[in-house]
Amino acid sequence: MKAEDFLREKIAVRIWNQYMNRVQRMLRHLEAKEREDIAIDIQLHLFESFKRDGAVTETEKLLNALDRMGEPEEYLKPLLADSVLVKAARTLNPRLIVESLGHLFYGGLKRGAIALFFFVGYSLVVAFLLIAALKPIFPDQVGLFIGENRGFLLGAYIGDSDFGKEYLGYWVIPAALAAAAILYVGLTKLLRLMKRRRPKMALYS
Amino acid sequence: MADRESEWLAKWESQLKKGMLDLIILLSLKRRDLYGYEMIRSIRDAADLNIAEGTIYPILNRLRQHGLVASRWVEKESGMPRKYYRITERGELMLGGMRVAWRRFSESMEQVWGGGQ
Repeated sequence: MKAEDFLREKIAVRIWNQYMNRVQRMLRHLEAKEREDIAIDIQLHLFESFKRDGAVTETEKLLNALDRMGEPEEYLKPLLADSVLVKAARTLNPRLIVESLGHLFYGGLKRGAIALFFFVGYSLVVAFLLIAALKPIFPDQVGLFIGENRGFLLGAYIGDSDFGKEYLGYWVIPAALAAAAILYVGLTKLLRLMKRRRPKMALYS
Repeated sequence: MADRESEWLAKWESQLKKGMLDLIILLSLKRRDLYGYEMIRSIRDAADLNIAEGTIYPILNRLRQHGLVASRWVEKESGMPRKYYRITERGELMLGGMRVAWRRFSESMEQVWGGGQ
């Protein structure tokens, strides 16, 4: 089934082809017949979904249909892990064994990396708030310090170490609060966007 | 019920329904043959389940490999042909077994529920 059979907008054709490439990539370890069967199922489904969508342009209709369909890397994951594992077990190919274990592991690793990103981000928010709170209490040890060797410290230090000249003074309070607010809003919007893009979880994710 | 509790309960219910998708698909096909897009609509209506539509295809593939469902092409006068799925005799047999297993599970859950009160 070719995109050009029913799509006239070039962007829509490109989007369709990119999506199908992702589907084919997830199906690559299946036997040819099985791969073809599933790919056709997905194409026909998308065609029906596209046809019935109420959007005005072809591109909008297709994007809506793809959104409802889900990410092939998620909903076809069970097929990939199973097929690579079956092939690995049958052929005892070490590369396939490592690849199948990698697929099983990757799902968790990707989520872990995303979680780490947000953890670091929100920790920075807390750090900026602490800078703003501690400046009035420790005015000489909190702020933006730039040393002679052009190293710098944004934060606070304990003890008598000399980190160079402090450049912001009490302006570090509104600067830190603004940075915390911008970072907090940005991270939260990004988190909501990620959750909205995947409102429906694939069965095995 | 507070918002957080409602959200938690909704997620738990959603996971419970997702675990039953094999059964829901076979039950849908027992009523009549369905093509993929129609099947997702049927699942949404019957089970009030909002899932990524692509989710059903690995399941259908697995059910087909186990001989529980089969497919056939239906040519249409205009537009793309449709691939209809139907439940096989083996699928009907399995469905019977799943029904027994479900009843057993329901009864044991009722006992657990009753024992907790």
